[in-house]
Amino acid sequence: MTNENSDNIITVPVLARVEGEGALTFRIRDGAIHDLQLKIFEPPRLFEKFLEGREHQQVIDAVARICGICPVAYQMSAVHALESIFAVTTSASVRNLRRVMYCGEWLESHALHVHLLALPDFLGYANAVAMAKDHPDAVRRGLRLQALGNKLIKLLGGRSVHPVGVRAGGFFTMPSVTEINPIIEELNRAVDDAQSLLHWLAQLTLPHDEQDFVSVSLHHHHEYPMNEGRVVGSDGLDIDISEYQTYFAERHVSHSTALHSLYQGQPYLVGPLARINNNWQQLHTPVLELMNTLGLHFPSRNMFHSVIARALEMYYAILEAQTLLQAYMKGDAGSEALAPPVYAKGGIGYGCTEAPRGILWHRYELDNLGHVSKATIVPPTAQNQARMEQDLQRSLTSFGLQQEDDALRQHAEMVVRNYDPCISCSTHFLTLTVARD
Amino acid sequence: MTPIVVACVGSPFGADRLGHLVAEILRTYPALRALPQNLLRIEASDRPQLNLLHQIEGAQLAIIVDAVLGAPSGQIMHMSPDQLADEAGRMSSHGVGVAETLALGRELNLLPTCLKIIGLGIGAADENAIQNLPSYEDLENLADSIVDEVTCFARQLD
Repeated sequence: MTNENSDNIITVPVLARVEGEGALTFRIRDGAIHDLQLKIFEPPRLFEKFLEGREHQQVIDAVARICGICPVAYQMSAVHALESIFAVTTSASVRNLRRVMYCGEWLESHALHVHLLALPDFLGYANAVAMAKDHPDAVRRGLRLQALGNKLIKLLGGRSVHPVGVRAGGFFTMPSVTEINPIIEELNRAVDDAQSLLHWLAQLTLPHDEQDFVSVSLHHHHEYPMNEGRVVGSDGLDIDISEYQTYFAERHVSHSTALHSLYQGQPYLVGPLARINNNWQQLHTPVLELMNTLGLHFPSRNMFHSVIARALEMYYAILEAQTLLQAYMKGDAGSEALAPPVYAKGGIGYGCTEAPRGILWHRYELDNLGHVSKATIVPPTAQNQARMEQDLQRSLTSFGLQQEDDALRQHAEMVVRNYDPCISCSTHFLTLTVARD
Repeated sequence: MTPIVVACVGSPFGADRLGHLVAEILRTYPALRALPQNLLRIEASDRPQLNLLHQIEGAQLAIIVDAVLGAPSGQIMHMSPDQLADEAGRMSSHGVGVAETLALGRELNLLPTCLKIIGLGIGAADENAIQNLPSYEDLENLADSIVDEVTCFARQLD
């Protein structure tokens, strides 16, 4: 038992089952948490500097390598920003197929997180391998859904890791009927998997930990947001994506190479729970009906409902991909131009899309040749850093600081994993100043 | 389902490109080109993570080829899945390596009946590692080893 009259230092040297590397340390003194620090060990990424001088296709291909789990998100935010500078208008087919590609990324990322990272927590297993001994069908389901997500990405990107199919104005190739048909069949079968996952999750007893936070996401007037929309907050914020830096600011913290983002000086939440909180009414009808049947209600202020939000988005992604691919097949598939001609020019452009972990904001300044003179990339995990630390402070206090150290450590890990942090892509330099005497 | 799969793992760049190089060499071997169509599939993938299970699913023989950090440069090692270090506790979507993937596949009965892991040492991870990388001859020796496994197994299928 912890002696409340002396300092008790809890250190989680390496957070298991989160992307990248990170560690947590805090001090308990006089029954309260002090000096809580979520440390990020990833070396600062130089991507923003790497992109300087590059032409636009190099940017689209390069940013996919920032993250192995969310390459589509980086490409979509980048290509939309660049197209806004070049005044490129994409066809309805391209717009819809980009949503299909994003459905694939949500599906593969969420499926992996839910089945391999989150469920071992909630079911009391040390890891997914241990969980697979008792719940093999559940883990196989996760692998099936993850594989299907990768197939959707590969359909349009050429491959699922570091896809190469995206270009300004559209894609390098459009999928054929013979490529699409088997995927539609798999999507049809996946509906059962998505529904059974939600039924299963609805039966879990999740920790109850309600907190106050502002949910920030995109909002689109007629669809659940992925590639387009305005930045909105649950406090009433409603801005164009170009105004992001007016309301959100990044800052260095000494204990982390990841920048912390604040909204009007305060932490905020991005990610599936924030998206669902702000946009649940725009989910497809079958998803809403199942939510109602299972008694799943949003908005929610309980971060442990993030796993439910991810499962709902998986169901949505399957239905959305089905709808869009079937519509594409009924249209004059393949007759549209792959992409309109693109004439690179200078300017400033913005892109903001909903990565699996939350809004991913890009800003590019291009010179008169259309080469990057400055790039700014704000990943979702970086935006959640301050919120994670705030959550840990409150959640652990609520959990009970008199708990044994191992219990505190496990609970802290569960809290962090709610955010599914993609630590390996959440760092970048804000400014680089070189002084030479 | 392809009866024989050779899954070469690694990045296309740097010291970890061994898998890709071996795949390229294998595709030139007459003995493999002479095999019946659809009997053999050679995969080369950069960090396939759990996709490795999908690559080898349904095969009767799967050979996984990967670089082995810390082993003497050029040393060829034949391993079974049980011999790999169990690091499943550190599993994350980004960091799911071969060992963790196969551990999960074993629990789910997704692994082929005959699964072999062939590694090639690339020396220690230090600043001089580039000088100690396997030679092209080492890669050809590795490819020879793989071809022997594949052609021997293919004869059993006849």
